[in-house]
Amino acid sequence: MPALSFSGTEARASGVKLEDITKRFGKLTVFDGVNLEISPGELFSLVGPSGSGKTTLLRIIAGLEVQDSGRVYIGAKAVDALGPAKRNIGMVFQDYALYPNKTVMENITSPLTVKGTKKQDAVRDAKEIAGLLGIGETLDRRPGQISGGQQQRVALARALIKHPDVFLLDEPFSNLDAQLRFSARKFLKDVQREFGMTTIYVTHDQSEALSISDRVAIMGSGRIHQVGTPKEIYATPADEFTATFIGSPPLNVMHITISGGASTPLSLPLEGLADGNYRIGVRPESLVLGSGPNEAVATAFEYAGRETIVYLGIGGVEMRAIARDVSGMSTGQTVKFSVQPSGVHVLGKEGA
Amino acid sequence: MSLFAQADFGRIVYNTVFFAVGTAAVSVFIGAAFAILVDSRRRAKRAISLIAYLPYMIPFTASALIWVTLFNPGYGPIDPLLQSIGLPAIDWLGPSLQLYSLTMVGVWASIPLAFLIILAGLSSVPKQVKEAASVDGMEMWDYYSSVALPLAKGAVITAFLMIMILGFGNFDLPYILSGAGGVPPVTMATMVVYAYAEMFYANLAPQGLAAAIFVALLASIPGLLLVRATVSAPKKERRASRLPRPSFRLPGSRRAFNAPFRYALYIGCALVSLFILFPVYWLGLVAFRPQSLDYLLPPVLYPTKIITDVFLQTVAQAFPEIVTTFVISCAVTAITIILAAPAAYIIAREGKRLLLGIMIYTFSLPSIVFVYGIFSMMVGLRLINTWTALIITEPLFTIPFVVWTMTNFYNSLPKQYEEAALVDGYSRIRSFLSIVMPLARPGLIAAGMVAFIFSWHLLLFPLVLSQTPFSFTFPPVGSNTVTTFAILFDPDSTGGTISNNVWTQLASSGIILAIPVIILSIVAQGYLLRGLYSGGVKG
Repeated sequence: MPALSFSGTEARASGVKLEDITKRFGKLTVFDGVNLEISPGELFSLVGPSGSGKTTLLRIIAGLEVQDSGRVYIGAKAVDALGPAKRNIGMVFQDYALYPNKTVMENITSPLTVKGTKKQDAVRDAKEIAGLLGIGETLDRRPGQISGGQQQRVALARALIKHPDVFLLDEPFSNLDAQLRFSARKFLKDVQREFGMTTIYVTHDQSEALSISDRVAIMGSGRIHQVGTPKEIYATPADEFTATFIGSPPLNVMHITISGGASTPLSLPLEGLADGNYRIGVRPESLVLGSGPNEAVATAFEYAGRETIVYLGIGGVEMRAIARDVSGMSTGQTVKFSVQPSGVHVLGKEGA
Repeated sequence: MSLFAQADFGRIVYNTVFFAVGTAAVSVFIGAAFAILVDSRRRAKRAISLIAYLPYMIPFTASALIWVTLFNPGYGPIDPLLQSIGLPAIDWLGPSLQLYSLTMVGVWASIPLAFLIILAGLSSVPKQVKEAASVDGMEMWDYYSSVALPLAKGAVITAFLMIMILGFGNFDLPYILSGAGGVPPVTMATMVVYAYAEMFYANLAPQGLAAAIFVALLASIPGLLLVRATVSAPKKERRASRLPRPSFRLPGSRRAFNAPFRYALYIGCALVSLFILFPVYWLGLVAFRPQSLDYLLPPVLYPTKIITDVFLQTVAQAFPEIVTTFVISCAVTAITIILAAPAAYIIAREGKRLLLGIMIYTFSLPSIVFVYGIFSMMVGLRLINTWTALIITEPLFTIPFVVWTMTNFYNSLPKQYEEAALVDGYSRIRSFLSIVMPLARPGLIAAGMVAFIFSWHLLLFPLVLSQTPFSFTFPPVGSNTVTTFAILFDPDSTGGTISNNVWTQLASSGIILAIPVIILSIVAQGYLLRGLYSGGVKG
């Protein structure tokens, strides 16, 4: 990674604040009082399943949608009355929205030329930023003539060239193949570190969100379920939605009965829970196979490279576990295992 | 005093409805057959399309004229063809059959529109659905009856309603087939021709206006249905890439139909192809042969001697009209695009459905409704017989249609480009001018061609706004256009002052009318397809 320094770039980071945002499309209420605060200079992800409203929220910040009530602040300024052009934001769209009739150079310079910047200066800036992003050779071509990865960098360059206060990305990597996505993610993180701009990133891919973000907001059906660092989200999910949405393979959810300090059908390291029935989530990676108080039958193996996902049947429930070493295990065999306390989440108590 | 006794009123209503509904029903049936044939084939798609599309290239005025010669008792070529296969000669334009003959010409002229719209509907069936159907073992009949046609239902309905609307409002065909001027025979007069005769021949404006309003009410029925079908169609959701789920019949349930269906389709389309091609062949044949070959018994059906001097002489004669029509059409096209493109953009982006509904409804109103008001205005403004009169009135017909098709086009244009432009700092107007307009260029070109063609072959307005009707002078002056020039050669015209019965000149003027339309429609074919019918199947 070459050092990313861009002339005239000083960190112009502004925080973003959303206050009581409500939004309706016809009869459908998308948001009913959403609050969110994003600190200056952080890389913040909005993550949730499709239909959760994350893209709509991003478009409200951009000014492409107008909320029905509530306020949007960029820095200290309320921007509700301003159109997208006046908010000084940069945005990368899901399929990039590069103007197909303009060259890469014209695409990158368009935010400057439209403001009346001298063409010379705009071209100089564009060359510089294109060089930094590794698309210097594509400047004379049209978007249709360059690869998907290059298009994505052109979109980044176009969004960055005007030194936006806030940088918005709407699933920018979803059109890239897995290999490219991995390097693009790292690249974005480096660019963001270097430029230091406040970045809001929308994705449905929870592992992507956890891996690149400073903080994450988990969204489901128009509600923000939890805001926190990736670590907090993973270790202490605030509710069942968050707990089940985060993690791959997903959380094992089961019913547990506790009586006299012992839990069935799974013996879990739970302390301080009263007797009764509980819904429990157990992270697959917290199951340690080999020895322990629990016994289950291995029903299937899914080889996943470095590790293997082992399906375990216990008391009519199927659980997934992750094991590094499965030599000596076979289908139908009984496996002993223990559960690490950090991977156990109490999701709720059920009827007495 | 009425031209028609009250008793005839019912007959004229019957003629009008019969012509509009009959034309729509038969041409949609034939158009659907050709669309299925083209859609189902891998090869020769273009050639078959060209046949089905051919009548579209011949303006109504020209096709009516050429059919007049085809129908000519004795010297027309159809009767000997019928007799050669043992059928009796038919008095096509006689009182008992003329309504059916008129409808037949209407069908001939309307097949292309039905074909284009239905083919667009069939081709918008997602490829995966088509592939899934063939993997499931569906053959032709199974696929079209249970999957493709149900999915393209919207296109079939649109085609039917549009052709019915054009049938109610059609002036050119019944006017020319009933003898271009004078009192149209009650056995074939449609309400539009009746209204025209009342207004401009009998000088009975109130009665003509009443008839015009009556036909407007008739046309409003399909017009409002078309508005409903188009405007209230659920908005396409960009994200919903879900495939439509047709109700697949159990495989094999109608298996027995597949083979007969295929044979019937091929034989039927082959026969209809002859019906489509022969008048075009006749047009070319008659235009380029000495007129001494026209009135022979039995008629000569094959080229024996080819000459071009009559054609060239007709071009020279028509030169003032060609220039007039060209200038007027260009001006009308420019005005149409300048006004319609932004209007369509706002309708598409702001979802102004009411405005779109008004446009489609305006399009569905027969031009006879407007003609008297405009005629009076132009008399008042002293603009009769000027280019200006036509230039400022013709956009009345081109704008609604172009707004409609351009709205479809803008709807299919991804919104993200404009949003990116807004984020980049463009103003709405600037993003429209420098981002949207360049992207919309193919749509604008197509719309421009449509406007040009519309204007090029308009007959009613030039007829009314040029000089006084029925006092044709020669050589023509003022705002006479190629269409008014061509009808001078109508053999049955009561208003013609030049030598009648010159088929060579008639056909030549028909070709002059058709040439720009042929050129433009070959270029625009793909665009027209896209513009007329988009969506409906999706979402």
